[in-house]
Amino acid sequence: MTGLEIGRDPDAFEVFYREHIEKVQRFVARRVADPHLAADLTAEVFLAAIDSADSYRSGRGTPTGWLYGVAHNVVSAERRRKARELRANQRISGRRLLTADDVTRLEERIDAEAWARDLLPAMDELPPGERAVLELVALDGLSPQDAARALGIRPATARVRLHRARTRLQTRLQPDLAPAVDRITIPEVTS
Amino acid sequence: MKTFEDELLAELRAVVSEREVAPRRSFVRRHRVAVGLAACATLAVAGTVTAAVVGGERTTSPAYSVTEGPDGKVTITIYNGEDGEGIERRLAQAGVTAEVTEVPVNQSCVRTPEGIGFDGYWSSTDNWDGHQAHGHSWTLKPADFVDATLLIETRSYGDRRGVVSEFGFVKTGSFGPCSATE
Repeated sequence: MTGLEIGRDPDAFEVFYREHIEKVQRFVARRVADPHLAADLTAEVFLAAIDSADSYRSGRGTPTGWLYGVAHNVVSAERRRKARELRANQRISGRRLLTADDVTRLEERIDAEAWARDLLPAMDELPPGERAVLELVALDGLSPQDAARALGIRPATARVRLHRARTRLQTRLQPDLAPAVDRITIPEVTS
Repeated sequence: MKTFEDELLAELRAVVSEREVAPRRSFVRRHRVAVGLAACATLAVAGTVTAAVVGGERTTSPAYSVTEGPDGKVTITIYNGEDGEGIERRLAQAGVTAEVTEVPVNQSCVRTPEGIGFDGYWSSTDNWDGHQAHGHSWTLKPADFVDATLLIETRSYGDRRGVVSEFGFVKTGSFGPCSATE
């Protein structure tokens, strides 16, 4: 698969979409509890993937890892702006496509990922760069190397950020978040 | 009955189909340092030779330093956000197109359009080693910025002890100016 194909060939895009739609929905559900916003963000992730497909290079990681990087950008952008601004600029309104059955199904998926959203408050005080690596590793199960590729940074940088994030969580942890943070699994970081 | 996933696929296929028949977009990009980049074509050649001799030498600005290493990499250290234009000019000489914006504390840049690309990640450093006055350093490869603009957001606090910066690499699409918002 080349990025150029999914950006310009509908059939190639459909193969890519079918392979990744559930992964993207789970990625979003680990971060967003509102099914309508989740639908908007899912649409936005694939639109961003289409727009940036030309820049994909197979030598820089798997398509799935690349898509996680795109999804991270979209969700991070959402955190920085108000939801209505997202909707005002959207070319496809995901929520408009939802039926009542879809909402029920999305809510079930969102409930299944509640463990991940419980961890997010513990990460609020982390610098964005550290948080990005930690999220991809601890919430999405990427290896530090795959997280580095998804974020376009060097593996050594990802390992350093992961190490710092772990240290910060241990030293600045709010007591009520301790049980949630105890569930974070972070691979051992070696320099 | 079609599901959300089916409906979304249909709409996305339509988007891709439109791109299939449309001519390739001519991306509009802000080049605040376009003049500097043009001049840089000559400087880059000279810089390659010079850097081998003076690599590691630090510029004298109290706000930042930019060092071009013999390996072609550029290290930028920002001590505070007081000279954004100076940073842009110096990075342009080193082959990196940059846009520096000082953003009020507790506010974020919103850009419409955003210009999200593969390398559109955001990263930041902070006082991880306990010495804010030492500034924050990043090492970059100018070759990564042939089609990209480095966005630097600085937030300087009242006591000027340091600066928190966010970097983003926008490789595709156009992006709008920074609109600071809470």
